[in-house]
Amino acid sequence: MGKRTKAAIQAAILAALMGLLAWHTISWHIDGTHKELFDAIGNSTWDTAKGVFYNLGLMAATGVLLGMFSEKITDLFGYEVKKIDHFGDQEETPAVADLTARREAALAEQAAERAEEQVVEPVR
Amino acid sequence: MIAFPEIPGVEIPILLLVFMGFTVGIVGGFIGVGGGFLVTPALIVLGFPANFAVGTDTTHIAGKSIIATLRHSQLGNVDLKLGLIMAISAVAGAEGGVRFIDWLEARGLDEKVVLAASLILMTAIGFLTFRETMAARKRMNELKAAGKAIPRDETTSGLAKKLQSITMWPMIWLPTSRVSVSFWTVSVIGGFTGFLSGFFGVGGGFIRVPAMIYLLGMPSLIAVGTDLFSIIVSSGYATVRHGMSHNVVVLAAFIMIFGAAIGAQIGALGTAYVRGPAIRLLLVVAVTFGAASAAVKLADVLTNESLVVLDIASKIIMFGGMATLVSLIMGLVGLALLSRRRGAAPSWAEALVVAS
Repeated sequence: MGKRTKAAIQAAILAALMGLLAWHTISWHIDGTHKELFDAIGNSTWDTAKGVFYNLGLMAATGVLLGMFSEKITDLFGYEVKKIDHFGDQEETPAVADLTARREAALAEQAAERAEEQVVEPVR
Repeated sequence: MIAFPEIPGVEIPILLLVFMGFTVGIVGGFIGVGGGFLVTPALIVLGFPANFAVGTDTTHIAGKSIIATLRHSQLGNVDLKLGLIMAISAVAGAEGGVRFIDWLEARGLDEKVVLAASLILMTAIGFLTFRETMAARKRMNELKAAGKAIPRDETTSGLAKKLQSITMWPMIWLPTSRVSVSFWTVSVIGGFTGFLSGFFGVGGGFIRVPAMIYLLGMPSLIAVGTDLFSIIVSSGYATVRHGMSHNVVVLAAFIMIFGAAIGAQIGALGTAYVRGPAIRLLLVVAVTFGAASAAVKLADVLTNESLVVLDIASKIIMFGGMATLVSLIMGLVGLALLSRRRGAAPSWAEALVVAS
């Protein structure tokens, strides 16, 4: 399956879930359930928790679904989102050069040790 | 038009709510602030009582920040470890700030003093950030003149290095930001910025983003993404608190978040086209509008809310702020796209946009 096809299927699933969430929110607004939840806050601990965490849950679910949907849409359009290179040439180059020098020094040291062993072995 | 049974008599066009979410989504996604300084007054103008405006806006910010953070994490702009420590300490600090101001007000502290202090704080943040950003821009231009590559970000403040040299156990390594810092330094900065935002009632982003850049030494783009992640936690907590106080109209927040979803994509993706100083300059513009708003509020309190001209001024600042910030962000992104097509940015914008 191609990357775009996969993105299209995922976007369609997320859009369907968003539709369900929107349908739920609108129907609860129309039938007065939102108002009931709102009015019940403060009546008891359970009613307060229900009202308050419903708000938080709805926002979190909407945020996650819309965020993921947006990602899939950009994938679908072929817009490539790359990680930003925050440090660029500033530190990477010296660090890599430094590591290369260290690696070369370690390899030279190993080679010298091996050569020394080869020289010592016949004497044993 | 939509009516809200929680606030009888208030009717708002749905598209206007979506548009407000859209504008604040762009601004928040780009400079890493919640955007309460724009949406809260706008909701009040549309007829929301102040407590409902704050609670509903905070609830919408919680959802919007998730959307922007997801995109910023794709861009590598989110330092999760730092964001979590900052968020927890900022929430604790904000709670302390709110309780402290309640305690002071119960003992006769004048609202004017708090407003004046808030105005001074925002003006100072704006001025210092502007001065430093111009110095950083100058240094980047000098690098270019010397034939060297312009880095993605540059700061001239030495404060971060001093704070990083505090090696109190436990030390934490932040690979995304490439910063090694004491846990206590991060906690104190997070707690202090949270305390200030709770005390003054201004958004944490205004204070936290510059604090992450200048006190912790983080690149501006990572500060933006990390702050948005922190906002998820802090505004989530505020959503619970406001919900308990009957301040949230959840449907209005739900409608706004659809506009914010589109705006946040533009804002967050826009950061991929700019350099650190551009973000900081936009932050200065936002802080300036925040300071202007605080100044008008202070004048309103000083004149016992008797001058109509102040009411008009607050509306001009709010809508002017929205329009200016969105235009500047879109302008910068447009300039970057144009520069990419031409292969080079204009010389005055080389330190602001990424042309390659």
